[in-house]
Amino acid sequence: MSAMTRPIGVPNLNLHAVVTSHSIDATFESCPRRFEFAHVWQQVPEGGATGFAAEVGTALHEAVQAWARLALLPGRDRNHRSKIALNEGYKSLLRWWPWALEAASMAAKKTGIKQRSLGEAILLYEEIINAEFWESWELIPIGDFGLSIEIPWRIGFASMGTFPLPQGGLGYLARQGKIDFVLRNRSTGEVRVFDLKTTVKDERAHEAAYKFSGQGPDYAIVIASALGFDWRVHGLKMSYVVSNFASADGSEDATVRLYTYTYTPSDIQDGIDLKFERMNRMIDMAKKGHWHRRTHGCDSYGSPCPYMGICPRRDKPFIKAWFAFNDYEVRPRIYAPIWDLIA
Amino acid sequence: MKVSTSPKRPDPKPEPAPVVDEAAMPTNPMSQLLGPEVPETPEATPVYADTDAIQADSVYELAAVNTESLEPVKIPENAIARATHLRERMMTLKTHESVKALCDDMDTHIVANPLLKGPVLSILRAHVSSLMVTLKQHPEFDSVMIDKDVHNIMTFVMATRDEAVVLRDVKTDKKAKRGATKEVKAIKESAFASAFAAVMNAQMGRKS
Repeated sequence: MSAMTRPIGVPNLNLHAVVTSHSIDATFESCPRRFEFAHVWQQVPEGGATGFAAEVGTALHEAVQAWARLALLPGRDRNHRSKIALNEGYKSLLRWWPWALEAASMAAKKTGIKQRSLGEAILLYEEIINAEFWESWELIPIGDFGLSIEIPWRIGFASMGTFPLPQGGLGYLARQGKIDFVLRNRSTGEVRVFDLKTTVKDERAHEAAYKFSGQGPDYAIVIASALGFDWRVHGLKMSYVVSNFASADGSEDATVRLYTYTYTPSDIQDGIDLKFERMNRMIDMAKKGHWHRRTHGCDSYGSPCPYMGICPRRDKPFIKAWFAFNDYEVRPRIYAPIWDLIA
Repeated sequence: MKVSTSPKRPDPKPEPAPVVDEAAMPTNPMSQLLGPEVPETPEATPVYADTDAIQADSVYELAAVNTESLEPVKIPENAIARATHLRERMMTLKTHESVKALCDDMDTHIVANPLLKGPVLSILRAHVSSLMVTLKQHPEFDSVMIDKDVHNIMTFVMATRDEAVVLRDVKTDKKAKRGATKEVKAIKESAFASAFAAVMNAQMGRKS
């Protein structure tokens, strides 16, 4: 756990961040008790709890980012087809590929593994970097951080107060995320957030899944603060690069679509209200020490919830011992932000 | 997105256990902690006392209590995470020399097999996967790789890509064949329906 930096003269309150994010919100909505074990206790099974699809998504993000570091260098025109950049992407894809998880998932006869095979991922990577729109955009150097790729941000919600943690000390809520790309248009100078998505979702579901996913308001607050504009006046224009794996039956090839949405100030405010309402529920449960269970989250595509064996227990010594006995490890999953805000 | 990880493990020593009946203690070390369960803040959990109050002899029975209304779970919890962890450990090489030897094996395999597909490609894939798992965990081994090895990795990428294209074509062909079969069946069914209607109408003295 990362403790909040304590100013000189202030008593040690043993404060720890309980971090949420766009995807962690989904865990909370699916089952608050699962959120408790994974993000308040911060215990995950040794070897990780992420699924194959998420790991393949990470590998593809790493590949495209490795390519972009060379292909979208600022001040260089039309270099997005560079062979060296292309090969860097391939190498990153291989390095981040979930080799062991893929073999274990195949052995367990999990479905959907072949649709995201390495070969298909290579073809999708090529499809992404060959998209024409990249040609108009370039990266931006950010201070000590480097190029504007995968920018970590965090908002600490100091105003929402603290709550007791089951393992001792006090917790406070923080939101974190990483912005895939902040790019500048080579002709107009417009600065825009780009979010890369890898999916097998049907095209008809894209707008519902991405425009209204709730990530826009997060980005609006962070980008407005970093670039010094007022989202309450201008709203936020951002683009989703939605890359679909080829369909399982071979009827559709891999495709890449660019969706650009303009969020009005009212859209952003709605999103912020929704997040605060959720965070208030989190704090309410944390203060009671009781996180509700929801049964529909106990099994996901044939994998049981990793906390099923401990889920009914509420006594802390038993929970602590159970995690140790069953080879769980503390994994805070908190990263150092370069854009750190206090709300 | 990447996440930062911490290898820290919690202290495996259990805290002082509640008093339990010694005779009821089986060999499972977790069972020594299974005493009468008392919610630590009773006022916090008034409406959830149903399953929490149930006594059981093992944590697995407790898990069953919680899931009795669901479909039976076929895969044990964390089975895939554990298998993945074990595989990664087996695939990871420990020394510069072993990484170099693997790169040399990869080169020999590629030279001996100009046509990289099917089982031949699978063998190369095993080499590459072990190399990549190792490099991810030990980036310092990167220095072992020379131009030849990088070229071999790119050869693997292209062969894997080509195989994916072939597999796609096979899938498309199968889909087209399935479509054709369905069409023939539909024609036959349609023809049968017409013939059947004609016979029935004739028997009943109607004009078709």
